Amino acid sequence: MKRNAVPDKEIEIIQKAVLGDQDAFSQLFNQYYVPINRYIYFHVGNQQDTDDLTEMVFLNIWQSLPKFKQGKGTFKAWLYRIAHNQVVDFHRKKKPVNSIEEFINIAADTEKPENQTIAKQEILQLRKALLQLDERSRAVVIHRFIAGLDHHETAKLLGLSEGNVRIIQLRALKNMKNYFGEAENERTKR
Amino acid sequence: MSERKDSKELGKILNGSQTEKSPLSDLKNTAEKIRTVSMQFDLSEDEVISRQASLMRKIEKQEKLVTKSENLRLYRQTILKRQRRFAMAWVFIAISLLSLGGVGTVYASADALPGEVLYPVKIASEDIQLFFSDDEGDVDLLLNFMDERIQEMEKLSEENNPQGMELALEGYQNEMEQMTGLMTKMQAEDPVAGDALHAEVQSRLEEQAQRMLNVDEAAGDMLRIQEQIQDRTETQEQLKSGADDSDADAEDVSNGNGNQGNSDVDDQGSMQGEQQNQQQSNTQVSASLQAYELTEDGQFVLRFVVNGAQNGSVIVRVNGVEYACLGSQSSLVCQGPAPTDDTAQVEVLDGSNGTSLFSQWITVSRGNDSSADNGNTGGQGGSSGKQH
Repeated sequence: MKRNAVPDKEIEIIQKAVLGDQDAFSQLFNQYYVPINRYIYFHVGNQQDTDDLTEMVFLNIWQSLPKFKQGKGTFKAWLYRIAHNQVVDFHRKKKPVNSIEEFINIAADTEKPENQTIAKQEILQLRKALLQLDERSRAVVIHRFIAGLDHHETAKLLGLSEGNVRIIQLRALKNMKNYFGEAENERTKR
Repeated sequence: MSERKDSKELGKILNGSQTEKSPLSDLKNTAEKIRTVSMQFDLSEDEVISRQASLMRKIEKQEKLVTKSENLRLYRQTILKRQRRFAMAWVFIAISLLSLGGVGTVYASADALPGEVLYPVKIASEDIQLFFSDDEGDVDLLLNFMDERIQEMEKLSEENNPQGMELALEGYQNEMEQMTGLMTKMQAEDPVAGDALHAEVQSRLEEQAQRMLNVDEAAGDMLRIQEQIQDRTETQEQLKSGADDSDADAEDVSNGNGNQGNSDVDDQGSMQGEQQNQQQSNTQVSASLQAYELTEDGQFVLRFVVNGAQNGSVIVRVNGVEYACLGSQSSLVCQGPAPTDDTAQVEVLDGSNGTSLFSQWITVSRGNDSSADNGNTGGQGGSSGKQH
């Protein structure tokens, strides 16, 4: 079985949704809402924008379903392409976040650190680590390890070669490994 | 290059196809960490369900809007098609009358057509050219501008842009009006010079007529109004919701008199329940037939003035067949299959209670627009009160 082969059951649901079946669309929504929401969150770092963009992505998916063609890539890759376009559009229209501090302020959602759960602190740390990267490296990491796309899908979506994706991925992981190591050292010192 | 080699090796490690100890194995842990931490960003099932419900509501709302906008588009196309026919009639009238030396008649009847300037900037620049040329030059320029308008229509037809075609068409009509007026003046002032231009103008108009026919045919393919006009419920929905949007388009439909009653209904548009019903019962409802026309594609189009009726409450039947109607409150354009006989019974009913508002036998004139006289026969005439 190929790594990204779509289960028959899902193909059936997708086909129904393509024909305008709202129940089938609901099933796809349930399956993909959280992953897409998560993907957008790590791109934009703000819960409100994340939720708005995710909704727009699913509205877009509903309208574009008739255009989905099996055989031109997986459904998952198609969904992430729509989400990616939405995120790119968002960044184009919105004033960019210039500094990590600014990003973290948005990210913290005004919640005090002592009130944040361990999970939330870890998420915040991951976002800080992502911000150490340049935009392209960040996109590669998010697509590869958060969205779970393979090298080929990531390359196609970002307009890179697979070799390029591999090299960017190597450098980005090295960078993030160092960041996590340093952060861990800081934590133990305290 | 070692980085390239490393990147390939890392790829294999991440895919699980290489398990032996490697200096890059640590990076797999980093990748795993990214995965597991990101997975902690989650939503509860309730949140997902709530967002799904919100999305489905938006989808339903959006789909209704799409239906309405599609109906509005079809309405505009219907109006546009009729306008094109008027323009065609203009070309042929101009050609035939020019050839008979009756330009003055054409000029005199030009007032009957809409004459708004729709391309302010472009028209202004063309006006400047006209300003600096003499009468003979003006005729030539105007013919060039008319060619330009037709070229615009050809392009817009290819782009499936009926709104743009409307603008180009109105520009064409304006220039036709100016050109015929100029020809009248020139013939009156200098019959010899007028006659000299006559042949050239006629030849250019014939060319334009042929191109207009082609545009008309291409746009006709695009429209397929009969196939696309949806059921009457949707049409009435359009009438109810689209009065504001469609007023501009409906202006070319003759308005007749008695709009006061109509505006009363406009004002009541937002009233609800009993208050609205009470007002309606006090309103005089009437209908009159303004014109009718048999189109080339086998459709029968009728124009009515309806006063006092609530939006969407009027039913139009021809020989018992219910026609789809579009338009603002006072002006209705109805369309349906052409009657097979030379005469047809046209009826307008109050949709809320079935009262006959208008009934008339008409002669179906094949090929031309017909103006209807208002002499109703039978039924309750053009000013029946609403009965309960």
